[in-house]
Amino acid sequence: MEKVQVNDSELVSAYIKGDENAFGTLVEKYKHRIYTTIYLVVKTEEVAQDLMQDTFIKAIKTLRGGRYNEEGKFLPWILRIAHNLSIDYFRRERRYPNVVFEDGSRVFNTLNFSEDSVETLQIKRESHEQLRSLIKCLPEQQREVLVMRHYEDMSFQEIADATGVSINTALGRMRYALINLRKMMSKTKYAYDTNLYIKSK
Amino acid sequence: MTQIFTLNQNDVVRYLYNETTPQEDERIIEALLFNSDLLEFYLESVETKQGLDKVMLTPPKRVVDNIIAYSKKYSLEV
Repeated sequence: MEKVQVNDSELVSAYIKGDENAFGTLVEKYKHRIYTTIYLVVKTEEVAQDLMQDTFIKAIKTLRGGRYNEEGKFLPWILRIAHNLSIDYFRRERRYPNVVFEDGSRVFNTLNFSEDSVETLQIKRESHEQLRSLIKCLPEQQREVLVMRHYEDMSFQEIADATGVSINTALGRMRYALINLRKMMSKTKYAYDTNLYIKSK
Repeated sequence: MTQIFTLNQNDVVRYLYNETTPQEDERIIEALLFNSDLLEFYLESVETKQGLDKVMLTPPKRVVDNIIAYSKKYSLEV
């Protein structure tokens, strides 16, 4: 059977008109991206789960309340909600990154690995978990820019505007984030073999 | 007069994230050929970026179910 591709704009319109399935499709489509963005800011799973729900509650109220005016740009819009809630939380809690490598997170980490041996899967899983932990160890400003650029897909100019710094400062923070991640990777003997990774389509 | 452009790692970061113009791309590619430090930074950054692409988490099903349930409940209330 032929699968009909529906874009975000159509899904949003359908949901506003009462189609709950359209909303379910949007949630399924973007749950990884939104959850990852929140988690990398707040750094704990429980809080990330709460904020994920808060993000969607806010989105539901806005959409159902007829206040949504960014048709066609659903993902940047909801990522912005998620980001703002995460930053609000983070600033309230003000936790600085003496991060301990955690093991409870494995439960929710369902990265898609296919056609690999159990051993390769384990290496990949450990690598991803380690990198995720390293991201959490970055200084706040660097992590913020990295998450905004890499996971929220904001441009450096947008990041500069949102954080009240110059574009060069935003670029510099990203540069240091990349450099520091690299340094931490080598210090933790993090053998990052890119051949292990299949580029997602 | 020939204008001399000095490229730095910030330019490479913009290039890495596809925020450079085609003219800038040409200059950056040329700089990468002749500047081994810049090339090293670029290659390491590409590798790190590939790693970041793979860090994607999945929320528990319970969380997704709560969101869907909330939406249904909210639509009945409005």
